[in-house]
Amino acid sequence: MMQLCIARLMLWKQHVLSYLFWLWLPLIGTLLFVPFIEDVSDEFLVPIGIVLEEETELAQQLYQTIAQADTVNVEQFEEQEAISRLNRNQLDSVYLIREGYQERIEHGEQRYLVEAYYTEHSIAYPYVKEMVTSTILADTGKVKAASAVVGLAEAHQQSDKWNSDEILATAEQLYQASSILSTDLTISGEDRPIAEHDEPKLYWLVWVLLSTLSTLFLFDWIITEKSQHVRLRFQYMKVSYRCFLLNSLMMMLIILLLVDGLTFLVLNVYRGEQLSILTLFSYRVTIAVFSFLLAMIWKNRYFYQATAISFVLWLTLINSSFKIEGEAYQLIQSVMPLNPLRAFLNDHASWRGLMLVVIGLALWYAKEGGFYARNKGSN
Amino acid sequence: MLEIREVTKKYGRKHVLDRINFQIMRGEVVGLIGENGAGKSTLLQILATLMSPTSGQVLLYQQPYHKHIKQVRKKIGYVPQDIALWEQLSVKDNMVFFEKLSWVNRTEQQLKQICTDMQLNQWKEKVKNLSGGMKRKLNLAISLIHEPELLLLDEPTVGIDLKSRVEINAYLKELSKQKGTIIIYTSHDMSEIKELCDRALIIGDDPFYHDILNQ
Ligand SMILES: Nc1ncnc2c1ncn2[C@@H]1O[C@H](COP(=O)(O)OP(=O)(O)OP(=O)(O)O)[C@@H](O)[C@H]1O
Ligand SMILES: [Mg+2]
Repeated sequence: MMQLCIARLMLWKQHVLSYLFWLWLPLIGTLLFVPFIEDVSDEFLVPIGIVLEEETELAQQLYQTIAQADTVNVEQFEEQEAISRLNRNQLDSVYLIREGYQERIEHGEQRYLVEAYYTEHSIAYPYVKEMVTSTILADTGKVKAASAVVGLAEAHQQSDKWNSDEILATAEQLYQASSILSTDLTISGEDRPIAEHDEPKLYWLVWVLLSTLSTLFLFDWIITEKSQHVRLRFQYMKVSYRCFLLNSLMMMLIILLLVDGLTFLVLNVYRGEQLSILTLFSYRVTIAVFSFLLAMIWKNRYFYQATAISFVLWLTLINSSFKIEGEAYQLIQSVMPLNPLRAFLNDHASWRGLMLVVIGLALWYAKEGGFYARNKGSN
Repeated sequence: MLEIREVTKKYGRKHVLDRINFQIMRGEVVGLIGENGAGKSTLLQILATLMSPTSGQVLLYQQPYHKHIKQVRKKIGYVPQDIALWEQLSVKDNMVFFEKLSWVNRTEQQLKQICTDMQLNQWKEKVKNLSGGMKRKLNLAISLIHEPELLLLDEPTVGIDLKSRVEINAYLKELSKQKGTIIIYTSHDMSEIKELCDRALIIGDDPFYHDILNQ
């Protein structure tokens, strides 16, 4: 066992710099890259427009609430300007806070307080709608609760008994579903849910993309190695070539898990980006065994690398799809259940993926044994 | 002693080896000759356990191949026709690598001795920087780490200059004498066969080779 490891290290030693590079790229890349994205992240936020027709305290409060949301970038416009920008696709959607907003809230009105313009490409609409609704509910709720308590107190003083029907009716009024945001100004389109993880764990997203790429590259030595004549010599050795490879896979896994342990400490503890260690390790084992099997199948190193890069680009695309519009977005949403990173980004361990690659590994091991048997028999 | 009994090899319907029979004693050096495509490499691969015969059997010191494949393999040193080395490693690292994975333990000094015995002195040099002759020597040296009792060489001296060829042959002759190694090798060079081998076996039935051997 020890000798197998020493033998493997002798081979890896030749490329130690490139291995070190790929091993540390995900963590270092993430630490350097994410603050940079966050700096320019305004560009990545969904632009929405707000038309403020009055400058009252409540109107300002609502504006501030929307502006502070971290998935949208809010700008204030005149109504005409906002609509023309929306038509030119420069804005995702537009919200109008009409004259008399505060006054109507104080009168306990809950309907049609804010108007919205949006298109079929709008993705911020459902999200902003939620936000506006809860803000207004909170504001009107305060007004209503106050008057309800006063009303009940008066009723209680007049009669000795609490009238339960009355209380229920009042409560019903309080919780009545309210259509706060008018949607009759829709330009065209329908509601669409905002992306599943609307607050992506940016550090882990960047890390998982980089480490998928680096893991794939860390296994590409297999392609050149397995096709060499020197493989023949393993027939006369203590261990078969497949055992040697399996041992190397385990070694690589241990090294990767050590680096992952450190990554976990840095990102989870130091950067405060929560992710469970089980999620991290199950992802790691899955992607490492997957890369190993892929490299066993591939014959050409450059095709393998091209595949690896395309695969990671595809992952990047589907995991940052909230900027994409129209049919492409629909298409991507429809493949979302197949997204290999979905479990990881939702902080679940991907047992299904893990099981698949372990079965794959077992099949490979059995087949590789068969290769020698066949080779012996008829070649 | 190596015994080959009624060994036949067919590739599909094509007969390559037809009921080959012979015995080789301990310490004998035997050359295999025959025209191109006669089946020399095929026979060597059968003897090296890399393929099994269609019928017939092979025994090494009374152990039939098909029953004791593992033990038999421990006794075999096979030097393939194609160079089988880690090109990016040094001579030393190649030797150490295969020592680690072999059935035996050797010190670095012992490994180096095998190389110097056959005049391969570039111990620290990377294989990719070696000349063709030096690569052939290392190709052979690795197959000798576990001191095989049966050494099989497929055209070991092809494309090698005269000096290296003489050195390799001298080494092989010494090995069979000192350690009693059975050596079987193929070559197209008749003078080499005559000089090195105790006897030659003709594969195939081309009368040309029978005549040459009797000259
Ligand atoms: N895997 C194979 N499948 C089918 N036929 C094969 C296979 N390997 C070799 N042969 C055929 O078997 C015959 C013997 O081949 P072999 O390589 O043993 O000849 P050889 O005596 O070593 O020739 P050379 O002197 O050119 O090295 C040839 O006709 C070859 O075409
Ligand atoms: Mg041949």
